[in-house]
Amino acid sequence: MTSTEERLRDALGAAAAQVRDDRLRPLPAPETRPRRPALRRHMGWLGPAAAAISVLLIVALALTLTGPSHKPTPLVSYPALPAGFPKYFAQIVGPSQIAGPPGQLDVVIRSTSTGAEVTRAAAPDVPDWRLTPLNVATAPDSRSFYIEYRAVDLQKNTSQIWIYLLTFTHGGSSNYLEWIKGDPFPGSGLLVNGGSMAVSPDGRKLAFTETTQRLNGRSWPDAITVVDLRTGARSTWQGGMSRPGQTLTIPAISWTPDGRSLVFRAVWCRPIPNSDVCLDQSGQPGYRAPEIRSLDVGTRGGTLDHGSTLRLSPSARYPVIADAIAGPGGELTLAVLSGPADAATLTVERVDAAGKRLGVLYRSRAYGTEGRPDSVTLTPSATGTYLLIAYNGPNGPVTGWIDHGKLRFLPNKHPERGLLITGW
Amino acid sequence: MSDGRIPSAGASLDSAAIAALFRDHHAELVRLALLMVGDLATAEDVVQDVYASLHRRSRAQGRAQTVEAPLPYVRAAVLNGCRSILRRRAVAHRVGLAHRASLNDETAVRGSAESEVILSEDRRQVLSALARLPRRRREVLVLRYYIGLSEAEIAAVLGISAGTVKSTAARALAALARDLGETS
Repeated sequence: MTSTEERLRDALGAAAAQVRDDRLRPLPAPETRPRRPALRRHMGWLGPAAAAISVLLIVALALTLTGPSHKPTPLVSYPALPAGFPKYFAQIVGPSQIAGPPGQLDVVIRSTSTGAEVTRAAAPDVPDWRLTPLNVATAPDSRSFYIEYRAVDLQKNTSQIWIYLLTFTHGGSSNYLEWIKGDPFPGSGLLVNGGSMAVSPDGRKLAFTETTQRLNGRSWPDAITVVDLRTGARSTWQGGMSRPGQTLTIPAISWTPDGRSLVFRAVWCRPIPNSDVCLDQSGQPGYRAPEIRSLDVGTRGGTLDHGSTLRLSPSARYPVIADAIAGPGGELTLAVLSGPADAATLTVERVDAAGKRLGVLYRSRAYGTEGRPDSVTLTPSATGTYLLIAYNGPNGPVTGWIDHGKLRFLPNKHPERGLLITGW
Repeated sequence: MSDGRIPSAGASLDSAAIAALFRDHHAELVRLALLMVGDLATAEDVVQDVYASLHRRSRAQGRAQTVEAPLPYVRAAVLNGCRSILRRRAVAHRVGLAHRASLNDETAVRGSAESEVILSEDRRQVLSALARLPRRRREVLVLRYYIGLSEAEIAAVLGISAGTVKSTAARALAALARDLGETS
């Protein structure tokens, strides 16, 4: 072998060695999107030709009716987005426009700059199972999305949590759903709520909460599960925080920037049997007395009371903490509701590890009687630079990002047809 | 890197076979693409697109494709994907949108600290010289000196004769040696 061959073999081997099996992006499952029947090959030119003729006719008609004009008609536009801004956001919408039984919900990925639909994932069609998307969490690459489905076994009338990774290529024309390792996550009864889900900052772990209603309707044990996305290994924290006559739910969860802990919101209320309505201490629907707690995920699971520590509890200053996410150095970003229930003020503010206020990011009095405290959702972008806030306002769902004290709306042309946006 | 797990000749490529093939050879295919296109993200995209297109084709035909030799077929598809990428980059160069990524560009490969250690200056020179070779010569060298294919196997992947593979490899090595300042 010549020197050139040896050097070449050595260089190629070294370069190829940088591809490590355990760090490869997983291959997608076959696409789930139903394909339209293909046109016969010799008629394939008809589509583009018809489109071109249609455009020409419309332009000609418009010129005929309006005449030439030097004033360009303004198109719908949205404010320019800053550098590093997430390109996509996820939304659960329904009913499906493409396939599936009536009422089926899809996950739609839209452009943050225009609101245009980039891709749509119908729930996987699995015989004897019905899948409904509950949550979407965005991976750190900002273009892969974890979707949590409630999978109901139609034969046994029980359900499980199934989590898929949604990826797309070719600008969204093809998309793929694949099970994550560790799936499925068997539930102990009829799941009534998926709670919350979040991907760790390094993209290696996924945390989600389970809110399970047993078939007798009396008990809703809540759990936090962390899944290692590379191995499928899971750790669960459950129980230990019960209160007499009340049930615990965990409607919100987020990772600290170092990926070592979770911050979650724990609320207690009195459940109404066979219903997902939960009454607070004053007998009103909702979640009025939350605690903000942190959970060290370095352990292999256990009970919630031993694994977690209290960070904030209700006080005169924070009567209703609607959501909380972790920041660097033990900081918290809180969504707080205050004032009378029919005219509450929503404040988003930062507090340090000791609970001292660091500053107010956003304040609004638009939060009306239609909203419930549990519907406020704060979601940081993958880089932690931008903060998405979503809530049920008096006139319907509101979704936007906080920019120097103002709320910049994400383009969402049909908010009434989509649920709140929770992933971006 | 041929091994006993390669599906037999004349195998049908249904969804399960495609999945099995990629499960066994995913990393190798990404490495092959990386050596051709120079950056890991694009290499993963190429392999993912090939995987998806095979599934799509299988589904569109409603039956499994019968392929003489599945692994060479998939390697050829990956190389085709790489050629498309390289063509697009060449066009971008021509219109002034120079592509930043190449294998000897330290920003191109994920995990830069690690790659700096692995890719010594000598290796960078070799890879740079390889990148300057015409596409066909580069493919032959990568298939021969990285994948370790025989001339006949390379001929099957590239769709050329074994004699052409032999002469191309000889010319490519000579050009590489000249570029690297070697006398042999």
